[in-house]
Amino acid sequence: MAIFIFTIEIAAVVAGQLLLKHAMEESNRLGFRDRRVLRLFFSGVASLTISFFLTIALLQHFDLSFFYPIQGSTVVLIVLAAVVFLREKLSIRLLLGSLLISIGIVIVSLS
Amino acid sequence: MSRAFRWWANPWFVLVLEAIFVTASEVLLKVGASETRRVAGWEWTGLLSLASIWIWVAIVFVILSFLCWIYVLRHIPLSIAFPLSNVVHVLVPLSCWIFLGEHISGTRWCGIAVVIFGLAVVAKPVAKIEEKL
Repeated sequence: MAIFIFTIEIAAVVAGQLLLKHAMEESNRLGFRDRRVLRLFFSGVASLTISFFLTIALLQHFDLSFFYPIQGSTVVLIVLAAVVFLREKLSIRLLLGSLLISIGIVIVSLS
Repeated sequence: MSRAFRWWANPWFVLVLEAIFVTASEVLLKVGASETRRVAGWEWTGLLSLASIWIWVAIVFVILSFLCWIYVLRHIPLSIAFPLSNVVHVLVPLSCWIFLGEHISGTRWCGIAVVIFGLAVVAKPVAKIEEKL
């Protein structure tokens, strides 16, 4: 059950950021009052809100030191998701940097 | 990203601002939470922390950081902006050390160094994009 909630929580963070980014890209083209832009924007906000409450639910059952390193993995996941779904450019350098940041977050939170 | 920006509207500057606002909100939430933790009853809901002015200031910083993030996403690729926004994992421990007098262990300093190195690796190509802005 816990692994299921972890997965949903991380998926909600990734989806939320992707939706917000997509909304902002579309707003450059269509303006912020466009219905499609608003739908994307509020879907993103809703997704991040779900992740927020799932985070609280997980924190009620796990120590922050256990939970936080898993959060660190979102850096790499969001970079990869942006490349796959938003067709952003991926370089070895970007991937390496993101991995280092993730590893750094894990070390910071474990100590 | 070929538009010219005034310095205060430059997305990279706003990204730094976003990280500072997140850091300020985290530190102030900690200050506010510590101030109100002795209030009896309902302490686990976190709602009594609203009695502290610092919590309200922190909420303002949270809102400001979200607005900054929205602006950043309008101009910077997510795959670059998101890793760079993780500079908060350096700024928050440093702020806790400087302003709250919290102890940072040797391992944590190592972690902070690795995050900084990762940020530098991501930021180097960004510096080239910035030259074109």
